[in-house]
Amino acid sequence: MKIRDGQIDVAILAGPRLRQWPTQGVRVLSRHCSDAGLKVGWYGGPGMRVRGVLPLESSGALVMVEDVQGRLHRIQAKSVIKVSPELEFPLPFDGWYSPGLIPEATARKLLTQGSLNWQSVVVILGTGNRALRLGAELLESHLSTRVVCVESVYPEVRGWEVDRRRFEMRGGKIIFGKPVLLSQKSPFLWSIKIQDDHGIRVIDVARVISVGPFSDDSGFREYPPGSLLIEWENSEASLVKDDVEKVLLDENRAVVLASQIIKGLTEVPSDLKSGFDRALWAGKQKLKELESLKQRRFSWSYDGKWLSPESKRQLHEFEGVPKALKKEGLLASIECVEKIGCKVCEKVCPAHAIKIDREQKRFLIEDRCTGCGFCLQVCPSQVPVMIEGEGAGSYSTLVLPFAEKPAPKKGDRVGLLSRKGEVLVQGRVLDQFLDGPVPLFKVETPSHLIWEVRGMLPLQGIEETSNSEDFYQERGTRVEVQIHGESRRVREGQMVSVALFEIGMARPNDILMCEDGSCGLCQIQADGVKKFACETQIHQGMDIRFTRDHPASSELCPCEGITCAQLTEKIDSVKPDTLEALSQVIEVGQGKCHGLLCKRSWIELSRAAGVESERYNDWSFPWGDWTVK
Amino acid sequence: MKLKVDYLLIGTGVAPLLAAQRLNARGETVAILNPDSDFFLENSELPLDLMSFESANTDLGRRFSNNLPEQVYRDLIPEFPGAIETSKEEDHRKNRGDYGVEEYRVEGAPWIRSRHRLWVAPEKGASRERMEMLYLRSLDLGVKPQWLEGVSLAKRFPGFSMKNMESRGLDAWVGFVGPRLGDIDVSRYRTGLLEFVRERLGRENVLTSVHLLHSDQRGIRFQKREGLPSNLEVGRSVLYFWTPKLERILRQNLEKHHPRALRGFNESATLQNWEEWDLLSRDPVNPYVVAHLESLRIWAHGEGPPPPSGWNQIKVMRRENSGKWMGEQSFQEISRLVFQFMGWDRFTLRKMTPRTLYRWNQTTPVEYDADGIRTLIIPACDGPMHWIASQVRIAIEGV
Repeated sequence: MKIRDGQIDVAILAGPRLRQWPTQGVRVLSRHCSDAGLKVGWYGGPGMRVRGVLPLESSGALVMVEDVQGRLHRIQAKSVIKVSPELEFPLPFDGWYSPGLIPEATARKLLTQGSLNWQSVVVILGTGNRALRLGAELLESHLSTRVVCVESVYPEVRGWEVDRRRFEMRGGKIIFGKPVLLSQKSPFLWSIKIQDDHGIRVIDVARVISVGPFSDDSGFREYPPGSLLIEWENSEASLVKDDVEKVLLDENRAVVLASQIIKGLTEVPSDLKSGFDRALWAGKQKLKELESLKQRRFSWSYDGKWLSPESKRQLHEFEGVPKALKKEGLLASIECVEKIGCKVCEKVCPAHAIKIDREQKRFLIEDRCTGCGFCLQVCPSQVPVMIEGEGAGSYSTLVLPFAEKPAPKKGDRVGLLSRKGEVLVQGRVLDQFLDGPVPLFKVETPSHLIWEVRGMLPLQGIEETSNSEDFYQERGTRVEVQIHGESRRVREGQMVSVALFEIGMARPNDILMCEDGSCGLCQIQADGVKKFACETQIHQGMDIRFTRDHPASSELCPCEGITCAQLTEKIDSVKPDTLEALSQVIEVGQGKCHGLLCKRSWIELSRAAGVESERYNDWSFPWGDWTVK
Repeated sequence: MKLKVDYLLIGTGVAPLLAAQRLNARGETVAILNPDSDFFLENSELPLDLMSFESANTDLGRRFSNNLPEQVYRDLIPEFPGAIETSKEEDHRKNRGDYGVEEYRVEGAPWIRSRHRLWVAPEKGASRERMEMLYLRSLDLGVKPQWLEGVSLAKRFPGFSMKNMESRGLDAWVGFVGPRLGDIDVSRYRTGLLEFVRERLGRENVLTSVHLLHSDQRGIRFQKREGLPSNLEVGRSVLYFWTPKLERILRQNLEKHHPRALRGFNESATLQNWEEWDLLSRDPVNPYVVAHLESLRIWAHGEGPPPPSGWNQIKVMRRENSGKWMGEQSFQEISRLVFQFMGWDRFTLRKMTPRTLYRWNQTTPVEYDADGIRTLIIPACDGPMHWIASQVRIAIEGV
């Protein structure tokens, strides 16, 4: 076997299951490192599979990479950054490891590639921005008419007020409680029990989607200390607006991380030093701001249906809100009160009417605002609205973004919603603007409600007019396949794992759908040959057999069959000081999937039991089972 | 508050734990300082004697007798606070016909397994000659080695696939089965010992992640994990246990206090690198044999209970001579073993761990005075677990 040797200063590696490569954080990190004269390499993406890292005693590490032709590259790097996706599973509960509970990545794949029936309730575990946004998208697309976000870890909603507002205005509900049991009622119906302060709620659901966050975002961790071997959880969003919070964190963390690496490996040239220090200072400040933002979420307070006087005062004092409305002519009102730091609206405004200062407050320069509505169309949380009318007359005009289908027509009556999704009054659609990415609707609103109304709801029966089939595009004709001798019709060309979910035959092993085969769980026998379901396409007459059938499980580590009780018992008896030590005495996370299912959970449980785990990275080699032929 | 102890033990692996247990039983007060973040991170402690051809030839009788299962048990049991399970091939075959989890009487106890050693070499070449010498020496020693060829050799080899045997040229290999030797679960042994020592000495006397160690007239000064400076007054001696992880600290100390001893160490100890590969196979494995194939040691079923049915695990220890972890030579040797010799059509690599250990020629402790404190450095605290235990026991008896 021929192995190619190489040397590099900084190796940035795509960890298992990372779908987006390179990420925004990786781009920023490598730019800063290469500006300082370091040799930087990215390894990941299609055709470049990182097999693992071997830390060296002296310094740095060896990186083993396999290219598309199966050739091995052995790269000696002084610093290694393993970029991982965020892990998405909650602490284990009865029946958690089953096809009834899928991570967000799998859910998104099923939404875009499959035609799964989501029509009963969908429960999303987590109330972060990604959870709330996924919920809003499900409701807007009418794939599901009822979505419930469950917060099981934190005492308050973890997402921004703006995303919570969007979710609740579409009819989503948020509850607080811990999931205790997930059981299957039929191939497409599951039952989840959630325990809260009042008892146990039982909800029949189409699927439970696990999004999180289930613990605080740790950013990057160096282990062993001082080694410059770093693991970094990154957002997998391809566009900033898909995951603003995480991408902003990643960008600023990249600056701080780059400075740490540069300091460890080289001397910054004197001509670059001041710029380098400035960037580092700005990055640290922004990071501090974003971190503190997570600690104190903003929410409006209400008196019944209406904003409380205190919230009204806050709203009117906020710099993004117009202070004086025009009698004729629309003015934007940018109402994200939290210091989010997303500058999408500022960048897109052609009149430069929106300015976001270092304090990340929005300043609306009312004289410049032309009411073009660009800010409404680009805002990832659909927060801005446009207002017209002085408020002296009976009616004023609001322009609201509304992405749901079918869209109301000019002249239709619609329900006008408060920020928390309650119907305040009926209004009439005066006009519609359907050209942009998000359709805008001009609605007539009673003047006294222009600061209360922020959403709308078509009054025509959605059920009668909606057509969720529009959401799914036909991706090939249906063909007949044999699954364990049973004849089934599935779409040609789609992945076997997606097809198994569609026909209700998915196994717990199929929930990760990692595309690159990194978990190694979803093995099947396709036409007599062992393959992974997530990498194998359906074709006419295919014969599929399951090589292993793992039952639904409540264990912490399903691959090794280790329970939470066994883990805590081991910690109590051995009292390990570090997670690395713990992993020497119990095989948790060392099974087939190499911890992809249980890593977050066992780290959380160990932390709760007093094991030092803040900076732990698992550098055991390889990252996933590696088959050599 | 300043602590005072009779003996201060500084080390990274199981050796200071064994010493602490022994000294504590004598009624001495003891504290252990570990510069590493835990006792489980020392990777130079092995379950068995890897027995290279060269050393076996020179000192074969002693190596065999030291590694007999009964001797391994005798070496390990005195300091161990609980039960150690022992198991032989005949017991398994007689009782259940296979290694079974039910074999464990005490859950979590370490297990001494008795396995035959099988030496294999190509029919032609220098290694065949060395192996023949080894065979003759074994005959002289009366351990009744059994010369094997062809299918009978293949059947004894752990993980040998019976598929396509004709095309694999089995005639090109010869070997012999030597005596049955013992191996131990390192992790379970260390866990049990640590648990007991912590309880006996108290957590405050077993400290990890200590750094900036230095001695002065008042004792040993160091910083704890949290960064707090501490001082420990030592009544009798400070004992260092030499493992590869502690090398930097020990070299600094010797350079300062006893440069002549450092030169002695440089001459007597050489570093060896080993790669430990964990391979998975669906082919049946023979767990009753540890095979030696040139620079490779191969055995099935490592530590703890046997793996679940369906998958079999093979552990391969490979001596790394090229100075390149996971280099071209590593893959060539593993591929040759797996594809050409064992006859698998593929292998799944579950884990690869690099291990560094010493080969010692001189194992006498070094004693010197460091700022008025009697200090001893105990070498050879790496290698097979029972060897470490006996080495520590001899050293402590002389203290």
